[in-house]
Amino acid sequence: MGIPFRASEASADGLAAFLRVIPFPEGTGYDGALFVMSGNGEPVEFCFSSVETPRTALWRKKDLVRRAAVELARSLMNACRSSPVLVLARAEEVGPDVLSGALELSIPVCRVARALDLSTAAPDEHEEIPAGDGLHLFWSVEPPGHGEATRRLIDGLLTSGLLAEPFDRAEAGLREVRSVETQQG
Amino acid sequence: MDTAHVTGMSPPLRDRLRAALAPPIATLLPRPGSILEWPSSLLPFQLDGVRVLLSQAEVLLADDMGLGKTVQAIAALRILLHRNEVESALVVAPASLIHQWRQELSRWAPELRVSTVAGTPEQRGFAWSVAAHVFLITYETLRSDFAPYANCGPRRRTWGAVILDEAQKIKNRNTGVSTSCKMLPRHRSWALTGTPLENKVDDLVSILEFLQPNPGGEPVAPLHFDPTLAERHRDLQLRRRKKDVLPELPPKTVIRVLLDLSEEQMRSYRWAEEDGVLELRQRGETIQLTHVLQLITRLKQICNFCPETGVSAKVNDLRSRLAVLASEDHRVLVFSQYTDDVFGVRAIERGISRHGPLMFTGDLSQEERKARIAQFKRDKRHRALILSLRAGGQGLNLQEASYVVHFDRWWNPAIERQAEDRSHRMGQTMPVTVYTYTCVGTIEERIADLLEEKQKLFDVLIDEVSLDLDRLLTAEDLFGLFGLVPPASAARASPRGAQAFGEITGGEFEEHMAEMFRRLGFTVDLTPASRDGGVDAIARRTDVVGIETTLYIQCKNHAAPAGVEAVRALIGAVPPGDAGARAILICPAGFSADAVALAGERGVQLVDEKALRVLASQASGGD
Repeated sequence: MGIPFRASEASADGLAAFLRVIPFPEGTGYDGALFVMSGNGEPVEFCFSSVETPRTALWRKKDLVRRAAVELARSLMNACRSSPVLVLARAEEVGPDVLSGALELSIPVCRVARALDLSTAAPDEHEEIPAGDGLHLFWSVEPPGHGEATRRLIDGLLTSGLLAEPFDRAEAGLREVRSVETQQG
Repeated sequence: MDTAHVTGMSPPLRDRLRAALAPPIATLLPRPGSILEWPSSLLPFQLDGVRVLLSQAEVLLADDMGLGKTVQAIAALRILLHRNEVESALVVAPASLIHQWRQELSRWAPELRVSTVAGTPEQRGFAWSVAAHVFLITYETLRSDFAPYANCGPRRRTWGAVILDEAQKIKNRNTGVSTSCKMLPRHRSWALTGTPLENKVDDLVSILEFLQPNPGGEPVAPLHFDPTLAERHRDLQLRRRKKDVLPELPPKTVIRVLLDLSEEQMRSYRWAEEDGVLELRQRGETIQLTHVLQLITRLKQICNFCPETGVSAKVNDLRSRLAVLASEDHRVLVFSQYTDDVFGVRAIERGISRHGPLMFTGDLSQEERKARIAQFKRDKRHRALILSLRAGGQGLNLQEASYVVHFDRWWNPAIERQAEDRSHRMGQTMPVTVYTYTCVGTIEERIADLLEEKQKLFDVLIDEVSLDLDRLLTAEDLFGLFGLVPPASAARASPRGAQAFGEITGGEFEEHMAEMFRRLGFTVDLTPASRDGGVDAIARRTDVVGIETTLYIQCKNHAAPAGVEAVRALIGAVPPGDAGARAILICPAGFSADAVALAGERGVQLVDEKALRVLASQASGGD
């Protein structure tokens, strides 16, 4: 029996979608998850998929990664029933041209990098360094301005410590899926 | 959360995903920045308590009274429910606290659906079946509804958490209540109590028997206190003292008020004491502890009010104090162990009527209790709330009063402290002053001195051990109050133990019980000894709306607990089809587990030593 979270200002600013692209342990493909969440951390939707990558020397690794990320992102976005107003991805998993280039999403895309990552903003990305969290945000468009719903959403997630944490939850969800699939043989 | 659109997703995966994708605990805690809305933040030590409840399946939360155990439990429960780690929870509490639980749940977890299991069997059946997150029930109702078969209300599901409030209620492992609680199927067991060791180590052991995983609701094997169990106790118990975590709580000052009885009151007292001691002496070797205790009760009552004239030194003093306190805009809680209109709550109310006192006694319905407390909180014209110690000593929040008066003393200091903590608890902004009345030159003074002397001997003991001093008052102590020496048989007996009844014959015990029920308002007929067929007495009473209650009573004053055969014999002797009939089996030595199980199944009321003590107190005008 579900318990509804109380409606709050945070949830009124729209939904955020967190994209993960994680390689198979054996290196033959990638798992993908799109975890949609309200601004107050309430889980709304979870989509998952996977793609196998060709085992051939004809492909460069980074092209394989990009191709897998594009395929997964497309599949997950198509399956997603919610309407997030913001998509976030880990900078080390998803390159700058996957979501804003290959998929041409109409909503803002923000790649999140931790300070210790080697990821850097692409030339056409806008970098934002919020205070205190050690995170770097690489926006595909101009960062949302003061007063905009997306700005309130991202600031709310930062304040609640929910900008990086949901990526871990998405990975935990993928582990559950894998675990069940493994049991089912 | 919608995950069902993924083809072929099994319910177990959906449930696992719900748990995996739930917000982290840190973001849900009741503190600034929480993504849940909370009426206020919790104090750091309370957040620690919530974290412990979330991280451990079994917890004995034994904080001092007034530190917010209920709120900590509700906060933890709310978080577990939001994270889908728990589907439903059962809270078992004394009747006087059910309303408070509903209020606190409404305040701290308003989105949770709560079902209170109470009323007629049909109403309770419905309450068990509703889709609720939290089920509230009293200990007594749980015992009534509990049955060994799996489909009874309390056993219909495996509870995500079972919470026992005032868990010392299950300290006697031989009662139906204790057995029922331990056999509830559950994944988490939380016990809340402010007095984890009220009497002795055996009390703690019974609570520790509850604090074990029992998803199948199986019978629990008795534990024995040994070093391993002591270590487990340390692992499970979280106890914080007020002075350590709330140094900013206003101080509590206890003042012993010595009063001289008026001439007429002292005359009544002396006459009763001399007459009573004479009667005790005349009993010779047949004298029993119960006779001494009866005289003590009688004299304590006269210290409250003169039986002939109604004059009371205590009321006179209370009236004077109230006049001053009212002028300073203060309010008072007055506790008495008696409720009647000659020596107890109702007589006190009459004596201080000009201050608009309200009364809170055990005979009030739940709705009346709720209304009475709300009225006291709302209307400052009620300067005093007079409470019976048993009904009003637990759980209530009455910080509106900063003065407490113990009109008469209870044996157990822990009970008195519990009563004082209705005022001296979180939310209290004023220093609390406690007055305890003691009449000079009377039994009250002698008992107070004796208890103080005994308490000093045990001040070196660890904090968790709070002793029931009345059990330490030996026969010598009690007889000595009247300058008497106990006979050899009474000297070996504990003051209020089962042995006290064990020294009298079966016939005398039945007559003693019959007299007790008569004082409770029943008409009692003892059945002929040769033809009782399992029933020793039949007690009848008609209430104000004309409904007759008939009690079929069997008395067993054996040295050993009564077994299942006694229950069967009683069941067989009760005429079928009598809607107002109730079977009662009285055995101070307790009951076997089989007897408890069968009695619970068939609605037979079991009265052990503890319950007998409560009945005896009620019969003598207490509560």
